[in-house]
Amino acid sequence: MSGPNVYIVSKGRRNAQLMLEVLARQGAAAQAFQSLDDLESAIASNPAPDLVFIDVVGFGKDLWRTCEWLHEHGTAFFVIYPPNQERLEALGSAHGARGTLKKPVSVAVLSKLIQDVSSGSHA
Amino acid sequence: MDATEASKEILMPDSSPRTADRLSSGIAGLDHILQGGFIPGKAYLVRGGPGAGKTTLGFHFLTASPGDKTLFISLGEAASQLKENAIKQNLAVDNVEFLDVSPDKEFFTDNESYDIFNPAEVERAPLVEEITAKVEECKPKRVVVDSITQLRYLSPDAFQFRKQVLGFVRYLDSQEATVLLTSESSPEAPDNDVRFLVDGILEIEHDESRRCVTVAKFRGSGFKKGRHDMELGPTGAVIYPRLMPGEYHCDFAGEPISSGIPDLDQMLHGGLERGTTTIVSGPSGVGKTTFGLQFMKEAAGRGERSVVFAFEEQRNILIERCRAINIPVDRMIEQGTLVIKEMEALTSTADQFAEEVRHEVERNGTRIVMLDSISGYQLTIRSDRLTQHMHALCRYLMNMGVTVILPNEIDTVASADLRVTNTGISYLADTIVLLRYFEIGGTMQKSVGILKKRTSNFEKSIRQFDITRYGLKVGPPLRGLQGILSGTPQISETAGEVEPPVQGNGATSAPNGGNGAHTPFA
Repeated sequence: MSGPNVYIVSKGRRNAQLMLEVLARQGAAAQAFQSLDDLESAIASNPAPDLVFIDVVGFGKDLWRTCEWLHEHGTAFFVIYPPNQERLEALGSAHGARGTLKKPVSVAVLSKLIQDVSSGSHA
Repeated sequence: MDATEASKEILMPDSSPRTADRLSSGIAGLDHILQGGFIPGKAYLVRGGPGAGKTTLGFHFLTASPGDKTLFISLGEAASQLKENAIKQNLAVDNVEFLDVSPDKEFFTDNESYDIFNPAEVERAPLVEEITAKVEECKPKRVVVDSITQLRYLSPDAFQFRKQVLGFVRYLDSQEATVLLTSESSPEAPDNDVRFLVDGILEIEHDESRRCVTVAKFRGSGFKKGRHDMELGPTGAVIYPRLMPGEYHCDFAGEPISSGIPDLDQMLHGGLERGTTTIVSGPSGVGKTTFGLQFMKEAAGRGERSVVFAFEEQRNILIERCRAINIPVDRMIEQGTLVIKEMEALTSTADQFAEEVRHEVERNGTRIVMLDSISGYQLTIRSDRLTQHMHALCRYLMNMGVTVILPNEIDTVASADLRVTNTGISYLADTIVLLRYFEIGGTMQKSVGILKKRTSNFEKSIRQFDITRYGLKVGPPLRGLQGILSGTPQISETAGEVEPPVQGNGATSAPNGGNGAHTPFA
């Protein structure tokens, strides 16, 4: 059985790269994007991903519009936010996020999440 | 031989253990401290702040035995930079394998920073894999990890760090490697837990004036305790083991050595014994150095070598003074029976200086040593415990049968204050000689008296003495005067017959035998 299809959007090149590496180790087929437009284009032109991770750092108010758009399309997504900015946790949930993750993200938690998606419990 | 030259070869006492079952550290002084070197297959922690010399010590360890396979694992500094530094210190690292796992320049230029995961979760595993692969590949006998502190940043907590280091050390142990881990302990990255895991700990302390090494732990072996001076120079690190007088001994006859002046020998009941320390106490210019040189002159006649360590006076001035008072200094120097070493201020540490003295004694057979003067030594030598160092040095010389003469200047010219030294080290002396000025009849005279002599009886009377162009002269006992040491004696009322001091024939007697000296005792 192939792993879940996961999209990542992050302005941090190294953050995206590390996420790809960790997700690949969990058997996920992951793709990374640096802009919200690229993410939306990919979703619009490809089969919907099983899960999207959004690293909120560096994005403006457009971020919440994209979150609502994902929610409307029924795409599950998680918001990843910096420590000491719990306000973003609430905003992410308010804009339809399936969940939020505070940095630094635990590799074990991420792995469990992917396993849950694979087994359908997060679908 | 100056201190730097002396440092190239650290003399070992006869009691030094064999080194067959040890792995040399590459530094003779450190091997001596560790009783031969590191114990193979064990892990050692080298602690110290930035610039202490930890990496240099690691290089010495890796280059100690050119036939051994060696590995330098760098977690903080680029291998190219490390090699460059080693070459500057004339350390041949051509055969050392380097594993450079330090951040490369792309980390900065390509914005390689991240915050999404804890570094411990995403970097440690690749790092361990890389190290393991390299160790498997080159199977080193000696490994240096510089520095283990960096691993601390890859561990989420102290428990994980301890577990990781322990696993790492055990892995290297299974590979039969001997490991040096360097550590820059700081409040942010403490290494207290690592200290429990390793088999030995070397601490390097340094400040602007001094650098020293202490062995804090060395499982399975004895070691030399205390702080040992360390120098970093053009040939890397040199460590001077702290002088432990009890380790040195030689058989010698404690015979008195003559001054060559019958009256003075009479006062001393034969002279100064071998293997004893004599403090010659007196005010400036009274003749303390000349007193010591007189014994050296006589020793030269027997073919014995003496060394003056001149801490205050320039060598050429001392030589001129000797010439002026009939000490054949040029011939003595030429024959090697006298060496005058002018000591430059603050260039030597106490252990370094002790090493130089040891070379003079053990290599060159020196029989009389004069440290001119005690206060000069204390001003010149870099140390925070000078009294202990001087004590150890004098004890060592005494154990080796060397006669030690310590001129000591007191800061009063003529007073009733009978302090022998201003530094509180008179307990070191087997013999104390007092040289004093006194005034009588409107002229300044000099007196000599023996205050103490442990090794024999001595004459209790005070005598007049002077320094002339013919040398040092000692007169008969000054009978009929009292209060000579106060500087202003009175004629004793109880004395039956007064023998006033001998007066010169109108010529001037200069302190220390300067030009124009006369012969008041003729």
